[in-house]
Amino acid sequence: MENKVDAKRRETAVSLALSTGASLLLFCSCLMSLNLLGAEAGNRKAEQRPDLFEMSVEELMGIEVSLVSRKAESVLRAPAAIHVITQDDIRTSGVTTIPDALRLVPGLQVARMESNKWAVSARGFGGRFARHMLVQVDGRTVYTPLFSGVFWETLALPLEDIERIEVIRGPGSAMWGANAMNGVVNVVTKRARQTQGTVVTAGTGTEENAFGGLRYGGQLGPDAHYRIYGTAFDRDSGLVDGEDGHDDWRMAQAGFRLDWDIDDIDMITVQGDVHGGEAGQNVAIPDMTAPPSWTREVVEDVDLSGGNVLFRWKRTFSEASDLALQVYYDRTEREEEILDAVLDTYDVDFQHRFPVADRHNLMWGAGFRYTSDDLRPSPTVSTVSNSLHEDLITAFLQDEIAVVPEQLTLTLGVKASRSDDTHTEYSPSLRLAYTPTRRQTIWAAASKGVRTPSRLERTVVLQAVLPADPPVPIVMRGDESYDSEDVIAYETGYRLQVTDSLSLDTTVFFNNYRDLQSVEPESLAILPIPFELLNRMEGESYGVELCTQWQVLSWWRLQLSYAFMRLHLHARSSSQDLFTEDNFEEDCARHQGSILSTMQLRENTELGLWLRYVGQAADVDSYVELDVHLNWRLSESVDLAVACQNTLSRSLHEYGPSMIVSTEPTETERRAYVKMTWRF
Amino acid sequence: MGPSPRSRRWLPWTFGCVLCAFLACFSGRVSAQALNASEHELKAAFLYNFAKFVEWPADAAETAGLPLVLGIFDPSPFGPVLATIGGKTAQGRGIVVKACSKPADATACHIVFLNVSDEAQIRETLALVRETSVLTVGEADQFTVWGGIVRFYAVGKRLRFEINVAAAELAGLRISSKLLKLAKIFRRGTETGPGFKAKSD
Repeated sequence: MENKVDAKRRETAVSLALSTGASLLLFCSCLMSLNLLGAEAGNRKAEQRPDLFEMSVEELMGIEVSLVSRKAESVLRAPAAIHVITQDDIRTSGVTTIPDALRLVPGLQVARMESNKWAVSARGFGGRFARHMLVQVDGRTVYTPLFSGVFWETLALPLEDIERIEVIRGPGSAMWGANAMNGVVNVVTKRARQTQGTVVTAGTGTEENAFGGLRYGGQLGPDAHYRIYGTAFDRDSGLVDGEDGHDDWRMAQAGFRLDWDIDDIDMITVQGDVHGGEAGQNVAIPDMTAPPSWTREVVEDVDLSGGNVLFRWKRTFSEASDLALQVYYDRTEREEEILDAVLDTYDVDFQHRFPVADRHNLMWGAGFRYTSDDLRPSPTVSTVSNSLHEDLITAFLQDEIAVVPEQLTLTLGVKASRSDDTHTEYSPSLRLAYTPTRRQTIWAAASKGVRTPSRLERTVVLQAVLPADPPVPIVMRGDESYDSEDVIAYETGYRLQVTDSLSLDTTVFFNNYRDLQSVEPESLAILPIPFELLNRMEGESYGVELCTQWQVLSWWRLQLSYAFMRLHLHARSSSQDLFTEDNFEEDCARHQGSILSTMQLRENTELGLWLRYVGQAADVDSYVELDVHLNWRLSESVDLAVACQNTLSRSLHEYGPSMIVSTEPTETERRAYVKMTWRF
Repeated sequence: MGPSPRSRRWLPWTFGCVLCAFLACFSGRVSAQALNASEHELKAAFLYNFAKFVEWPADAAETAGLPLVLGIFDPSPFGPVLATIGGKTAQGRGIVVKACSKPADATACHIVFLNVSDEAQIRETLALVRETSVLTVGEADQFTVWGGIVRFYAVGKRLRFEINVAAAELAGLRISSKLLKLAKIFRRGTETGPGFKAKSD
């Protein structure tokens, strides 16, 4: 019976992925034919910019100010630890995945645990289920409420289509969604207007067995643009003691985006993706019949699939006033021995911004999210009820007060969130930015961040084996009384545009954590030892983050970053927690640094060198690594790139074994790839 | 990885094949480029156009053949764009760019771009060049209220400009109807509707 249902669901998953893919292609073809029939407006030099000085005033009035420059200005003035990874950074660093790109951000801890798994966190509390960081793609959250974390392996969008990745360390300002406790990562893809024409990419390498993608951008009218894309890759496995680690993986993703600027005031965006694939892993399944390891090793492919559709409407009244409405649906499916889950998310968000009485800029918003899951019991995970749904209501209000216009800005914000099973949580924030001249900003902030409990922490019973010597089988039980974790973060920062070519960004933070998760033994007399999840841990962390951007010469740019941090945890006297302290305190390296050098060697040749240092952390030695990336523009329409990553060691161990859900960590090998890009 | 009954290796490749087939059908199609520019490039281009469409009072004997002076306050936000504008000509006169560091520097300019955020400095400069034939261009919200002549402002991501006609007359400048038609017109107390309407009329 069970098997039948499983098989059926699997079939549904595949057919869902395929049929959505097929219908998407059909939809795209329709768009195409419309385009064929429709206006063949525009000119043929896809990437070449016209000379603005040759344009009439009317024409100039039709030009859009690109976001980058204005963003750069607002980043200089922002009262938060914000860092923006640009498309240039992504290209010149030669990264092939989003989490690898995040290594460019000072203060973010990124470790590749396996070929298809990453531990990414901001300011500590790492691990595969780093639960304190919110990750969004174009405003859609990819943070899973099941386990509080991000399945990075499911983010297969083409890196070429990303405009920028905004990263905020610390509790995001009031406007960000729930669970932005230690940080927010917001991946912003390009508008369809910026991705016109056809682009084909294909490549192969020693670890990147094969990858490729296709994107077509077209126009439905003078102000309506779209793109459709498909991308797929097959990556090789890492090593365990020099042997195959069975963590090879392959994914495919297809999607579209339509941007319609109805007039100067209204803009509509519709976008969606479907993805499917499988990721290999070697997992230790708890087995009470198999002492002394209490586990059996299973080599399996995790089946991943999912899709989403998003609609956004933005009305702009003026530079200081706009409103936006966003609605999306997202489905994520995951099937493996330890977890078999389907998650549906429906989300509505509204934001409105307007100036009041000369010196105030008010922003308020509200959101509603409905999630519904379907968890299949497995040898590891069992739950009181297999299907749960949850409502989450959020609202925020923020006032940006120009205390001294153009110089001193005070931002007061409060966010309230309420789910079915938590009381209303308020996260207030106070931020002050002083911009004495156009070239420098000093800011300070005190803010509270909250993380609402995950499904695991409230209703799931998890079988696990502690990787001690000898291994100890345990049962971990979530509890309905499990409460939100929270942090009060004190931050201050200084940004200085020293000259047109040199800028500095410094942040110092101190975080005070309360009600952190603790794992409490209920009795030590029975096996497996029963544990309960409670909120009896407290702690504080502090650190410094530095980033410098330096255009040394017209053809040579350097980006240097360095971060230092410490975390101290202490259990309350009522707590009997045995391992949370050690687990997290030594989990992330105290020192990290990175230098990205980009040289425009010739007009058509660009060399990227990226040196990274990560200090010693629990179970992992410090390391230095170098990535080399060379890009030739062979002609107007063809690019050839060659990259070598992790150049300095044959294989690299970046992260120790996970505590609870234990998949075997593998070493990433030195790898090289070539990539061709054609533009039509 | 090892053979797994649930392996779905074919999935990505099917996607890939379908997409390639699809590419074959549609390759070669091109369409309009993204028309966008950095804010400062765009402003520089506007400034150049102002130089073309504003007439300075004709004490011609003195100025004929002499270049038009465009004043930019330090630190200049324009970077290399300025070199481009420096080489251009408008109304048969070359354009030279002058770096201004104090309000008094503005008096020697034909056009001055007040790219500063300090209200006191803006007002002092405006007071100094009032009734002299200097075309003042600024970005501050209150720029035209304070007596500035042209103010940049943004609607969505596009750049617009507002013209204070009375201030222009006071300065003895004649602004071409081409520009006036596209601008939002500022009159003390009454502001008329957005200028871009004129385009669609």
